[in-house]
Amino acid sequence: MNHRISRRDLLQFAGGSALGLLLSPLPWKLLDDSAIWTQNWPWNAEPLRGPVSNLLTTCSLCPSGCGLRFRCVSGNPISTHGIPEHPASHGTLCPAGLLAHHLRYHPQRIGRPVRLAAGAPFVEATPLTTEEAFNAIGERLRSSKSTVVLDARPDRAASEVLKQLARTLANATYVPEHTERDRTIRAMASAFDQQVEISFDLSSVRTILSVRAPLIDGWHSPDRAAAIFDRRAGTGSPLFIIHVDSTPSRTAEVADEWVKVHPGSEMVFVLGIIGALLDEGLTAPETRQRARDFAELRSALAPVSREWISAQCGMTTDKLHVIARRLATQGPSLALADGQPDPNGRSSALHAAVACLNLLTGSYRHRAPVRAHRGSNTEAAPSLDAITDGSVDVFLADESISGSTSTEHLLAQKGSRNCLLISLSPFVVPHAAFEQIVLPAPAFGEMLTDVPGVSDDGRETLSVTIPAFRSQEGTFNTVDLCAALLRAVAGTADASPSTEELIKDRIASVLKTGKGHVFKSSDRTIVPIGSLSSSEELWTELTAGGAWSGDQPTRKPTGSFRLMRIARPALELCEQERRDSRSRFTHDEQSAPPAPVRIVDPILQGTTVISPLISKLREESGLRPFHPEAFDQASSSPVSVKPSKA
Amino acid sequence: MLACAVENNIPPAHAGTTDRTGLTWMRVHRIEQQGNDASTETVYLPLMCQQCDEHPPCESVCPQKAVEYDPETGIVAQIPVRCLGCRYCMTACPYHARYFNWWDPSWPAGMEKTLNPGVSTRMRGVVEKCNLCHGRLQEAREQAAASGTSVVAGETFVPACVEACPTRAIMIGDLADPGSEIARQIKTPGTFRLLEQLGTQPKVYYSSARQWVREQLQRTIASTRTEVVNG
Repeated sequence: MNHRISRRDLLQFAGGSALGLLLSPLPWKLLDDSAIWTQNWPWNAEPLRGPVSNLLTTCSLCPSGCGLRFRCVSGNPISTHGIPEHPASHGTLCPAGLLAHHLRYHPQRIGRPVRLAAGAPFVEATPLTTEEAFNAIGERLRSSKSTVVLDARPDRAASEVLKQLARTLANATYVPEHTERDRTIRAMASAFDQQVEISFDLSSVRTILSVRAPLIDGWHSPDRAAAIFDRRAGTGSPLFIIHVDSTPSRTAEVADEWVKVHPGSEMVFVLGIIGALLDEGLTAPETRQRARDFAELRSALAPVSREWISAQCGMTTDKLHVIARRLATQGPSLALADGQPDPNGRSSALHAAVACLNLLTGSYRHRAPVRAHRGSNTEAAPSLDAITDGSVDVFLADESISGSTSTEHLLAQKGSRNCLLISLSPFVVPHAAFEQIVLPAPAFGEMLTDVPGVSDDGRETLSVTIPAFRSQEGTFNTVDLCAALLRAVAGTADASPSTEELIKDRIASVLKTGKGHVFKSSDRTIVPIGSLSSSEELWTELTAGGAWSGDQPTRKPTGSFRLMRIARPALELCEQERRDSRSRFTHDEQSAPPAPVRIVDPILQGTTVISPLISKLREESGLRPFHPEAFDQASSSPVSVKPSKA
Repeated sequence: MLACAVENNIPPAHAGTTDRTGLTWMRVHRIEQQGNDASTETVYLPLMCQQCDEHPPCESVCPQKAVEYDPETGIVAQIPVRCLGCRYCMTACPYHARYFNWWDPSWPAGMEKTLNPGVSTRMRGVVEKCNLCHGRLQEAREQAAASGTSVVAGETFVPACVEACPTRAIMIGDLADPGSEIARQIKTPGTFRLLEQLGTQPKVYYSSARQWVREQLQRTIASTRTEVVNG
């Protein structure tokens, strides 16, 4: 027998084997396994493992002081939750708070000082050693003829240290950055002949005129937005919202009426409403009696023709009268304003006009939404508006809590040609057209800070944020920075109190008043402050996610006031616009679209750097922001850091 | 959407993601209606897997048995490791509530330390969808078992979207319990289900006092505004 294997046999065997293999599960299993292998690369991230625990604290990203519960694995926060019983937030959190535990890892986070050259937002940052940074800062501070110490979160315990720094440095002024809400409040308070403090109580309002205020988006507190939604859903007293804005926003969409005005004409619109109230005699009787210059306001507004106002706003005079009538007859009504501070003073004038409108509609009366209470004895801090244009050589901005300044537009106006901006921030956020040195600060969750605030009903509140992470090496908190600057500039090496000591002092003074209540997060109860025996006990409660709120201040008779004291800036600006033949409002919106305005999306109020996860909203949903450039700034990493020469 | 992403280890949008290629187990749509007086009414619609009953369309087309209907809870589960990425289920789903993972999951350096250990990371090349926070349900079941019962107490199982919604617009409950708050709620006027005429028997109910919202959503969801970024 011939057993020779022919080439044909071999080919037949190979072909049969290949066919047989294809019919077997082996190749398909291999294909599947290799696909699964590539879907689970070993370098793909894996979650941490370890014991699970909870850490209760307070959010300090904005002054609302919402209660937070960090869910931690091996002591590392992995998610953020609200505390349902917390008096400031009732379990609600804004998107920034919900993603607060990501901030520590943000791509824009810095771990060492960096220098940014003046220029566009997309700039290169040069790393500096701490010594180089303080040498450069010390040199500039010593030669500065005007230094402004900006406090992005005034009224903290650490703010006292910043004030002390401003007093010690030559030619330095301490300037607190107030929120937009504060600006209307301050404007209104300045009208009264006696010192009063003002707060808004939205629960009693029936009609709200929101001039660009992001009311539905939280207006600085998610709990407030939730309460408004409840009322609109029919579970509370009815509420009618008129939103005035030139651009779409979520508040504009959800408001009962969106009044679309020409861009930048919001202040003129409010003057138009004031004019309509005066023309129809719809002002509150009390206001006519108590305003010492009611007639003066009327005559000051008389030359401004209603037709000019309606042309500027892009609406009929009738429409202005309809809104004015609703505010006067469907009360209690309240006007609110918001908007970035701008270099031409339009924002300040808008707040002034809104304050005047509130006084005319009688919103300060008994049971009305504006509460005037105890007079403030504190010395009024200067505002950035009052600083001479182009005069500031050095801005020293403490942005360690907020991450960024909210007055960027004003900085460019007030800074001199060779101005230096020194920021204390966890992130690189390029600001204006000046050179900038950024000193690294601990991110949210890495530092101890107090969160003072004022609730809607005028109660003072205080809570404390404790570190959930160990602070990154080489970062400075506000107190450290001030001490280091004093050493670098004045050569003083006084032992200043630590942040903890400052907060403990504040807590002791709160306990001494014996007023108010404390929310204890351990058993979710609210107890009178008198039931706590020592300031150490109050400290323990506040650092465990508790919150103190003072007594509700009693309304105080506000006496007489002067309308022109607040209306003047708006009237002057209005007059200036009228004289200016090239007024920016005279254009037709269709033929000349407004210049793009860089604003921070309302959903991000109070913070400009939030987790990159916000890209889920930006890229992938119908919640895409109306101003995507704000998100670009907030969540992307526009700054590249050069490798260190060292 | 953000609470869902945090809970389920869904990474930030990959560079180049569009609203067609993104991964959002819950997606909020903006729906508008033009009024006669040129005014526009807007509502927001959170859209997730509608948990169709008995024979969900996605289950019947899956060649891999990667979709499983749990008759006890009524939850339609997705098992990513069985999925071969054919995307038949995406085609079959009338609600566009399924998403294909185009990219390996990646987070900015260090942020992987914030991942939820109760849920796996999202693997590339498979289809996924809302599973009503399966990890939380398991935890609640374990809690129930520890206390000697097999019945999950309502307060121990709350999906991330329900917990995070500041306006309490999302509720969860046991539809099979006629005495529950959710069973009462779905009988109130203005409550409806999406594309009810298809017979998919979704277990997600919506409520709106506005007639145009009900009409528009029961007829079609294709009229939601679609914005496409980068194509």
